[in-house]
Amino acid sequence: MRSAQPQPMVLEAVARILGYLAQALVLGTLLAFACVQLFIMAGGAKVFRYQGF
Amino acid sequence: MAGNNRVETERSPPRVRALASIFWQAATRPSVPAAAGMLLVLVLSFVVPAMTLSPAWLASVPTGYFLESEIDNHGLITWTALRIQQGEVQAKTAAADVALIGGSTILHALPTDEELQDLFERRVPGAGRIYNLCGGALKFPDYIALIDNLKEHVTGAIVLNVSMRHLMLTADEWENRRESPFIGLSSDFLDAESRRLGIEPAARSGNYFIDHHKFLATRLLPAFEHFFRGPIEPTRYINLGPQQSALRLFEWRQERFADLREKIYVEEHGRNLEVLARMIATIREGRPTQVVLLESPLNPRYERKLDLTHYLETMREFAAEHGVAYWDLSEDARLKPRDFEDYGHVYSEAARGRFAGRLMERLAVLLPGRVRSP
Repeated sequence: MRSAQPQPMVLEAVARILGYLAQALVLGTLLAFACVQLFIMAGGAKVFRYQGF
Repeated sequence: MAGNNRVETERSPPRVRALASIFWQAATRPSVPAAAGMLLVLVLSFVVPAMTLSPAWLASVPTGYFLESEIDNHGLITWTALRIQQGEVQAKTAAADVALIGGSTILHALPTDEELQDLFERRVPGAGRIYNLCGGALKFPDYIALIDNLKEHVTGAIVLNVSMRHLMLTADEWENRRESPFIGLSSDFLDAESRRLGIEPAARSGNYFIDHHKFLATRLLPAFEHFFRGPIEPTRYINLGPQQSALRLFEWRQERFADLREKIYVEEHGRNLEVLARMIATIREGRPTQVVLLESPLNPRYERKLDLTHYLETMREFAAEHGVAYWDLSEDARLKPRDFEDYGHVYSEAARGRFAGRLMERLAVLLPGRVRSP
């Protein structure tokens, strides 16, 4: 019975890894967005906004 | 057993809290593993689109997902061209398809895409699909990219919008288009034409995401929103109406155009006609397709003030020399100054109907088959 349950150390390690993953996902995605936005703002990509004529 | 279970239950909340605390600390405190993961996510954010955003995949996704906004005509034109090229738009058997390639003056002179398709089917026998690939400020480099990608897929006619302004395209404008592409399509023909002008074309890797990152960058961020809220419905044009500001702009453009005509038209029109001739030859390399040069509508008030005699005569001679139709529908469509919001943009729905009607009459004669009564 006892051996089938996850060891406390394992659970803590899993919780820690999930925390790292959450931080990596949030910050990595934000950083990717920021990179694209900076690229656009720096004039790397322009879109012609057609205003009627 | 019952006693043990009670002990476990009593212990669980502090255990969960401890695990949550470990998770929270790892998620909120700077650490080497989190930094490495963040860099990995950053790299994957660019590697995954580079591996998945192929023309075939983009053509299979509904057009409204990858538009920068409702009025993103250039995005719409690119995705439509990809859908045609990738066979996502099923051609009708033995039917004649027509691609209209042009600038905003033709866009404004035509009704909505649905109305245009309906008119095409009612007025032109053997009509397949009509593709409105007109967008603001589309010039010859954009035409070339579209022609090169569609010449094998359009069966009836390719209609190219021409105007005096199109023959005034300078090498600087051509280079600007390389820096800020309007159309996200690769083209060997466009690269060759750029080299003729002494402009080194943009490097091609063969990967759609890398080759068109400038075109995609402005459309990827809105795409995230559209994936959650659904694809957006594109709007082809904004009707301003004959406002006072538009009239002032009309006068300003008129003066500017007169000035430009003297300086640039004389210098550039010969070279641009050569480019146009090569476009016609390229279309003829593809499927047996008719080529039509369609003149931009012109406000009669503007026409009276500027001398276009040389330009119109040159275009007629050019069309005859190359064996292509040259249609100037402004007079046939009885376009009046009140139909325009400026020098060449139609805003009246009735005028659009007349212009499209005359266009269909000409297409009915041009394309094989019997002319059906309206």
